Amino acid sequence: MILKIFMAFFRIGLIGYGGGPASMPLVKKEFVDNLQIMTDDDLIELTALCNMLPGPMITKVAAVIGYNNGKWLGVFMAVLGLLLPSTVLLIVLMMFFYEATKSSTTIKSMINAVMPVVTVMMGQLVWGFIIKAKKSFNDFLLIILIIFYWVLINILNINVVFVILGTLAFAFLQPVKESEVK
Amino acid sequence: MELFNLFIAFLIPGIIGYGGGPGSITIIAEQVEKYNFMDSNSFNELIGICNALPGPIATKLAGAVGYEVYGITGLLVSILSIMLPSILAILLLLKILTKNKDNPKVKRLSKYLMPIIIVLFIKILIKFFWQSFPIELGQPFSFKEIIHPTLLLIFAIISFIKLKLHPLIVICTAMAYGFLITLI
Repeated sequence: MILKIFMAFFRIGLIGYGGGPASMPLVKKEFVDNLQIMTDDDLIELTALCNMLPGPMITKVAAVIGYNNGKWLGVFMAVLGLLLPSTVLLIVLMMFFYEATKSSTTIKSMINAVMPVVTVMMGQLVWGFIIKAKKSFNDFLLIILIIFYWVLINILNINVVFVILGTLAFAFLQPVKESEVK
Repeated sequence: MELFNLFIAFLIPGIIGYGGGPGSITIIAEQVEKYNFMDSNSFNELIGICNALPGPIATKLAGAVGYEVYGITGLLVSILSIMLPSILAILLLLKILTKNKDNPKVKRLSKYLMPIIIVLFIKILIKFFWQSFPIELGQPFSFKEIIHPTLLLIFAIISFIKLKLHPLIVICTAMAYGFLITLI
């Protein structure tokens, strides 16, 4: 299993253009759909917690998936898999192609071409989450919540960390309903 | 001494580097200046190189600075240092949650957090959509700058939804396309 996780993160590291969040659709595909070692709920929780803490998001995701499936060796292998492609490429570029890379329009054009693909992947992920959320909330409440958080984060510019902390506090302070105790 | 400096310098962006890549770049720039690792011109060149590579930008940038200062050992020390605080923090946090996973209040967390994640991801989705078109608002642009991203968007939609291809194949094809259009 650790080897499978290593390979999955290797693939994610190889094609992870566009920063941490751009890799999340890949994480869902590899671990929720293919390996099935986590659920959509786990992924949502993990995304929120990773957003709350500093540092690059995808390395935290790798550490958690690694730890849950193989303790510290798992952490090491998952992070190694993730970083290996970009680090090796980085060393090669810095050693041999420093001048060529600096101003290459070819590389720029290749990366630009990846963005539309990443956009569609992100769209699929968001759509999947919305479908899932519709099972937990009724449509009206969901729209209200999305507008509410949109205003908080994008219009009032409240730091996401505080929004997540506030929501966590709310979730803990609300009394437990009988239907939630199974 | 330089290795130790690298380690200490990159602990800071790992601890206060909120808001993903761009936020961390600023902090890394400050650290590079403070510890005199390199001048700002060379640093900006490194940002350009790191942008050409896959993976998280903060980690790559730390690695690149580390490499310039102290070779491959410097690279490894810097990467380790920038990742360590957040990895330890998230593992600790999740350990506490897992211990209480039967608590109904912990069980409902993902439901409560779902709308926030949807909002965050929609925001990123919109950002990615605009980034797909390499043009600036209000600036004149050529037909080429619109048609290639549009074709790629359609290509990606068909590949993922109709053909259900693996992302690796789709991304490599897109990169090949990006390479070919520079030859024309």
